[in-house]
Amino acid sequence: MKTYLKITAVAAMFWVIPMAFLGEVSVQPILHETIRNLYWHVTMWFSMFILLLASVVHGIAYLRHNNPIRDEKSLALTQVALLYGCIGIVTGMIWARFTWDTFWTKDPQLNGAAITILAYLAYMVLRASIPDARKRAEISAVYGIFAFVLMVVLIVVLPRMQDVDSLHPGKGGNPGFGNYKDLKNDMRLVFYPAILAWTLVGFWLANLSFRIQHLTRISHAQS
Amino acid sequence: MSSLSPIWTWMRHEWQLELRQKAGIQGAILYVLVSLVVAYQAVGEIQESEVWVGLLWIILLFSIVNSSSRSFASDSPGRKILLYFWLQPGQLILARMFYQMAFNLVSGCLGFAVFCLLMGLPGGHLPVLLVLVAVGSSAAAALGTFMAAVASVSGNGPGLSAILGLPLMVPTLMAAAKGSLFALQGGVSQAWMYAGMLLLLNLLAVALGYLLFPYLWRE
Repeated sequence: MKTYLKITAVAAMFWVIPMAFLGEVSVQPILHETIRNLYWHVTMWFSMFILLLASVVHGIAYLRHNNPIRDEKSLALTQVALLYGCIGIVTGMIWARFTWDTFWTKDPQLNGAAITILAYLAYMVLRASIPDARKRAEISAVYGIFAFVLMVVLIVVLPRMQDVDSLHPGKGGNPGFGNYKDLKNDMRLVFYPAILAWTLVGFWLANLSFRIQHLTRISHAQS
Repeated sequence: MSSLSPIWTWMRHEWQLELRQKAGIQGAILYVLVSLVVAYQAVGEIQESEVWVGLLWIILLFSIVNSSSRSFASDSPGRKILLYFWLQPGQLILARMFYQMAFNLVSGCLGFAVFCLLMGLPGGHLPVLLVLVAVGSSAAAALGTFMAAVASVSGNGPGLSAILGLPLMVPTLMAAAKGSLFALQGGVSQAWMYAGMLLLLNLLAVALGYLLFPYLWRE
């Protein structure tokens, strides 16, 4: 990973983390300042999808050129995306506890998130079940592409085509965050850098994980 | 794909094999019937449409998982070699997907008929319900067939294909269940929209399977 991207990630974190805790936010009755979770929870999902997209790109590249490095990168990105997904669910549950008074409800987006995580856990099970490295790379790339495309359709596109009765802001008649007229732009100034920061940190984590796994594989091959 | 006729030939072949072995087809039908009877014993006639829809799709889901996961499981090494030389990979996956889609479409509709007989039909628009059952079952069957292929190539049994397929089949059938709920409660136009989306999902699953299967089927 390029050094300037790492510097950008660290700089963005130095801006985002203090601002997420201390910056001015839109204070609503009852909800108080729970909207601060926007910088942690919502950004996790954005970053997760970007990481998964990158993983699928590596998967396609593997199928075209059969370079095992591509498979290792794809795996590392999926692992980090899975971690982000779990953090997204936990932060979302905490947020839901304070806004909807429950940790889990029958909400299409919650179920979509849970099912995405299940699909990628199945990806891990599939990988673990194939001993031959070349075969494992090939099959998991195929499954990854198939699952990602269908997940995007089933979880991102399908719920937006219909009047889903979601509790999430901007859906089912709920006001979106755009309706908070006060401080709207101030919050954007933190929200977008937060997406950038978490995504870059994700790529950095994936890069480190890939390098560790790659070196382990090489040392096993030599010994 | 050079022509469609090998696909059709293989589909007919698959059907003949199924008739000759008998155990597969009888097992699939018995599976649906037993789960219907168990559900009937447990719940009886249903008035609330949510429960009706939920139970219908759970029964259909497991019957689809059961039958589609068999589609690559019974290939002996000899038959694999025959298929390898006789059909192009795209033709093989299309034949198997179409066969499973047709099979589950029919068994889904039969299951639906028995379900209505036992549990009663709490109002609703019958044609759109039937279309939803048909397109929902066939979409889930296409996904299940591809996952059966993945599980078979990876050297695992049909157990893995259920683990791989369920996360994708569940949202598909939840969309079908949502559409059925609309159909029961009078939202016929929304129900048709769901049927259209499921039809598109069928096409997407078949197209992805056709594009990706050649990478699985090369050794």
